[in-house]
Amino acid sequence: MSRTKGSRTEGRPGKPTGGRVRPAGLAGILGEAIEAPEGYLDEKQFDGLALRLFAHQYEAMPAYRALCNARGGMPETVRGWRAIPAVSTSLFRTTAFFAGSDDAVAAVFATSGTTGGETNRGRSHFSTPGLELMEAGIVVNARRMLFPDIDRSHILVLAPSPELAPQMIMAWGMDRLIRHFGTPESRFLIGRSGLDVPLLVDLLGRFSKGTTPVTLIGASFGFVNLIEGFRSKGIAFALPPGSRTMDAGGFKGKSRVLTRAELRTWISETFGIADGHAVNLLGMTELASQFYDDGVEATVAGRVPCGLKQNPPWTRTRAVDPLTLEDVPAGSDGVLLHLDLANLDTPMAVLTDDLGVCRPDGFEVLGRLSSDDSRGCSLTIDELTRSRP
Amino acid sequence: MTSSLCWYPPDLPPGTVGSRRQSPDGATISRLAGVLAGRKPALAAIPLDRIVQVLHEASLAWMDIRNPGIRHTLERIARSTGMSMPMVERATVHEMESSLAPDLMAAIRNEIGNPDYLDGFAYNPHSDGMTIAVGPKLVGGIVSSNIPALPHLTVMRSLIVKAPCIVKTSVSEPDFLPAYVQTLHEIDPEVARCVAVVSFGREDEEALQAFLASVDFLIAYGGREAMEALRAKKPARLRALLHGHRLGFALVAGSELRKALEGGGYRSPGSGGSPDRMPGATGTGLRSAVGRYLSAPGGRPAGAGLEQILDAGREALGLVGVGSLELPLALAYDAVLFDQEACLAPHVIFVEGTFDQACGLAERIAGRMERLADDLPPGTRTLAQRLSVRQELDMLALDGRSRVFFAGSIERGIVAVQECEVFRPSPLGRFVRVVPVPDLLRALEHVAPLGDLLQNAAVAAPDDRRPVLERALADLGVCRICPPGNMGTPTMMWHHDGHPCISAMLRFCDAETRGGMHKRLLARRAGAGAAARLKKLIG
Repeated sequence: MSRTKGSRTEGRPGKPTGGRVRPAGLAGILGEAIEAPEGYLDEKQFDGLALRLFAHQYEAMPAYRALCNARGGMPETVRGWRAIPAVSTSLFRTTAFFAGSDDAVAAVFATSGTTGGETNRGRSHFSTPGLELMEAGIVVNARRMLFPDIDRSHILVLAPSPELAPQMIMAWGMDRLIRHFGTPESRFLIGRSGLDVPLLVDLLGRFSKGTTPVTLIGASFGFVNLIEGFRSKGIAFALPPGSRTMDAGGFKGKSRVLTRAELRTWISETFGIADGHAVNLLGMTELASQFYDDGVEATVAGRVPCGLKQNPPWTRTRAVDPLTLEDVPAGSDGVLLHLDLANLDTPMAVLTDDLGVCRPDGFEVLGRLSSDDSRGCSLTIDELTRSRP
Repeated sequence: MTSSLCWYPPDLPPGTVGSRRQSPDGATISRLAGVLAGRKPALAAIPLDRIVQVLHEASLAWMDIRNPGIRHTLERIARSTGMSMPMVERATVHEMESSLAPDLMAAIRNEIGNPDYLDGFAYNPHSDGMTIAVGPKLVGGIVSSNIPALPHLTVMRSLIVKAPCIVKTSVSEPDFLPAYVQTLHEIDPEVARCVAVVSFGREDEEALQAFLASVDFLIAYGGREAMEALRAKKPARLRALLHGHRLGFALVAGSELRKALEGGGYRSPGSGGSPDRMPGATGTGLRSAVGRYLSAPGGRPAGAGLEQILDAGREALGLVGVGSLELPLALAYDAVLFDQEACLAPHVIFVEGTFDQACGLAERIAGRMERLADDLPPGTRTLAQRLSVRQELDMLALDGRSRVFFAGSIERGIVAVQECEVFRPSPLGRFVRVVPVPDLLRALEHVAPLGDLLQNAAVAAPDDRRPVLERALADLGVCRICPPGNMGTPTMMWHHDGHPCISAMLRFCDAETRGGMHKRLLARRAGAGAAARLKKLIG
């Protein structure tokens, strides 16, 4: 298990988001925990909230209840957050998990569905209180991990806007970052015909002459493809001090594959971004919360970044044997299982298909597991999914 | 026994290759391939009988699983594949038992008719002329690691067609093939000097390009995307047999299901033996029986002939009665063998009956899987496999039309009964799905969309239904049909992926004979050996 200690909260502690009124009931309690000024939940506090949320989700989601019953994990038997039954991400492709009535659904986000087409896309449903909770988490987390030292930035997003990609949770989250941390010049740069490179070049050129830090945000593969294009044309910028990048996801099949160090070097050379100001984000459609590495946060605090992903206080991450769902020995490779108290409407415990390892200072994603990694010559589920007419 | 990455003939010209413990670079592969291709004439001059004898002796040697050298390699294979040692032993004996001289010769006859064509021009009674079958100059093999002791098949195929070969081993199981070729070398260095084994990483494009450019026939095993990538990378002129991943399934007719539920034995056509025989759970057991005949102190019993050895091997493997195993045991054996990793293994067992009847059979299969796990312990599942099983179990938990039976524990095997509308594959690793259908024709509708992904079907049906079912399966794309209990053990005669794997490598040359004179001219041109054979054949 890995979690962020309270002492790590070097920046400003969480503030209530936008002065809005917190919803009553469980959503309100969870919102208070996420925005708690102390920025820390101890085991007892986390356990209490997790078990309360679990009991709610067990009652409110028949599909989740069926899974819990099959595993023998019911509210009356589960004694701690580690025992809360987790839902495999694969199940989100086949099952609509939502702790509410259909008319309470305010947004549905879908995974990218890189294999198997539209029918193979996982979906996450959110209510209005669920979206508010997610937004609270995004803001508090970003204030700690992405903007611990600045209030406003020109945020340029290498992704489509929520209007253009309403099912893309990343677009929704980035829109929230712009609302809370962006200048009026902040904007999304992918339109119907793709990335608006001339506009991007123009904006970067103009912003380079100013003093307001620029924040470039996008998918990791998008950064690689963009920088490759810039490098081939000899284009480079010297963005103002304090500028930073935040990339999310991986490269597989969408761009040249780089190591993190190589990508940081490319970013530094192309945008003039200082060391320690290129941060990577792990986000999933199935989770309301995201996990930053400690690049910016540690650098601003004067520490050497460890490069590991950091858990927001309202989350926990375990590396488990996916079959037994027990923790693997400390430092061993396992499948990452996240618990997220901001997942109000969808199962809070999610078993990913990410291979990872938990260390004392955070966790690391080592790659994506696939049934293609099977040893045999028999067709795997993933192969069949791709081959099916 | 060697544990090197590569195996090179010891008589290579100096400077051809480097250390056996290092992966060769592209230039080394090109040099090595040149030398091997140059040995084609010498190999072509070796009579087929002698080559088959060498392969036969090698198979016998590898069935001797008590031999310390063999054992050492098998232990390494167990470590690298994650399979249990008893499973690796069984796989090895299974593979080698089907690679003995009678099967080799039968496979040749099955595909090319007259084995003499491989030795030179021989009389072809169908054309009333002369025919010769010429193998490639150099065969390239790219083998996988899933079934222990299977990569020797590529070497055997090549040598049978008198083609030198260079085989790239799987990086994840590099031990078997160098050790096997070393055995060939110890039996007949003149044959083994036409074989080399190399190993290089899948990301080593330079080595792969050199490899593909050096051979004129390619045999490759791997995932479907890997095969597509190879197809794109290989030179257009390079002929190839690309064995991508496929799958198997089983069909159980209602009459056989009812017999199984009533406790009766299942008897496949033409089988004999005891119906409740446990494969591998015999009193003698695999190790003791094979050991007794092949490597007991004092060696092979004096005078023990091939049939005795084969009988011992079959008995040791519990194969004598496999065709007549009770149905749940036969199906369990198919799901357990090689930990279900072979393309022949069943993903799904379609049963003609109700959900409850399917549950009855599933419970029995799970029980037999539990017993089989005593003799053939399951291997170590990878994290990816374990995740795949977890995801499948979770899906089943949400499916109101399913039920899961464990073979004593989640690790020993899982049988899931599920009413599905479409074919759902298994996550494998001893996880088999039982799907009830009102009629076996409905099962065929499930598998029909899979087309060329289909490989193997086990059929438990009465004789009067088999012809229709078998024809339908063949039309759908299935390449092999067998009784339950035999899915993992095809013979050399099987057309793997539906291809004639030996004759596909050959180029035939037919010399026509007209009016007798042509025949005499050809006989003279073919030399004394061919003339003598001609005289013998046509008088």
